[in-house]
Amino acid sequence: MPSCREIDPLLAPYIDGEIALADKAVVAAHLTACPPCRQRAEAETAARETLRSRMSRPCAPEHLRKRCRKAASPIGRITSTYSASSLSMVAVLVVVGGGVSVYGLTRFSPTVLAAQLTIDHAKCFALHPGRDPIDARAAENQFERDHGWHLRLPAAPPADGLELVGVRQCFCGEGPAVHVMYRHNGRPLSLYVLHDITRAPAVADAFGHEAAMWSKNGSTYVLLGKESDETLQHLAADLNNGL
Amino acid sequence: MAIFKRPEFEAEALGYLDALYGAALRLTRNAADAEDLVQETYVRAFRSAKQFKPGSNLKAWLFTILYNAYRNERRDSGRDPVDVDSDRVELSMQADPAASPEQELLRGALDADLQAALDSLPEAFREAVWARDVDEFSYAEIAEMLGVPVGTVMSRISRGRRMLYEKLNESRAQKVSS
Repeated sequence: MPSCREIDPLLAPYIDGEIALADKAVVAAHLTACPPCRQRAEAETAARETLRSRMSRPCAPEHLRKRCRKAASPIGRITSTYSASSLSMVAVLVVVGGGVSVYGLTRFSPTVLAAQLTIDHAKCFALHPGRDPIDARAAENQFERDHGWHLRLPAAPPADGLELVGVRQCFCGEGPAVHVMYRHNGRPLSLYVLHDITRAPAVADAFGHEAAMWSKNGSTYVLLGKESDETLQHLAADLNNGL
Repeated sequence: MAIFKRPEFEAEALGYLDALYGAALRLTRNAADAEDLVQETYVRAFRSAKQFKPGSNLKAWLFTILYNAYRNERRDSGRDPVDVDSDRVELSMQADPAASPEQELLRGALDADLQAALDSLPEAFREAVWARDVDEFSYAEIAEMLGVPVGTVMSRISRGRRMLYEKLNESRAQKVSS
């Protein structure tokens, strides 16, 4: 009969059912004949069964889920090397210096662009809180008369619950942009169109707003509002299809 | 719109968030540090997604990244994560062959006692046991995740289970005597 020392390394695979058939019979025979080894095997089995039946995994908190989803996005990978303090410093720069002082930074950072546009978004909706829905074709014609830009607004499916409430011109670090103002289920939502600029698709957040940005036909589009990441990306996809 | 559709790889990887968080909590014993570790794990995983071989075990791959990130962090901060004297532990485990195991003992233990007993195990043993009995990894996967040979994994699982049993036995004895 093998010694206890020889049997010992086989106990875990024996208990876990991952032992070769030939060894299984040897271990079983030893355990029958050797009370101390049998007791050890029973103790290990009891611990195993207890853990398997009793230990439950904690649920990750929702904010961690969100942080990790961001890690999956291009912006998450870009900003993972930024510290929180450097990001807030950039935000302060945006607030204090406005678009001119950070010109150039936005070319490299989706977060800074999102921060700039979020400020404009908040300002425009604060100045014009009670706007009524307007007709897209009429708004395009009016914008061309006022600013000389031929504008084509994206068509969104009615199911998205988007109401067009205004079209303005604004300025960001990238230069002049078109600010398309919507209400989504009553909440302010903005689409910014930056002409003749393309950049990698990204998602970012700034001041409690989510922003999704992408490029199509030589222009960059930034959709932002206080929507969930999923809702915003869904709306962005629909608007992009309607371009 | 294709550019916003998250690849299946990322969706599947995010499906292991709870399991990774559980492991991170066990390692760091601190919710804030655990969250940072999990986030760092995903950042590294998505950054090196091309190195993942489709069809291989994504969960084990993610756990390997998590353990590596943890070990690196510990090493950088001057702490050794697996400072375990296996021989000494083994000797102490064999010192009491006359223990009388009963399934009912462990079944009757309170969850708090079970958690405390688990927490009291040396990290290397706790991780091996947990990876096998709760996360249900194979020996080979655990070996890769922890960076040790399969034989060592089996030995740590075996010793870890016995230590856990002994700890619960002690805790019950203390309650009975008090």
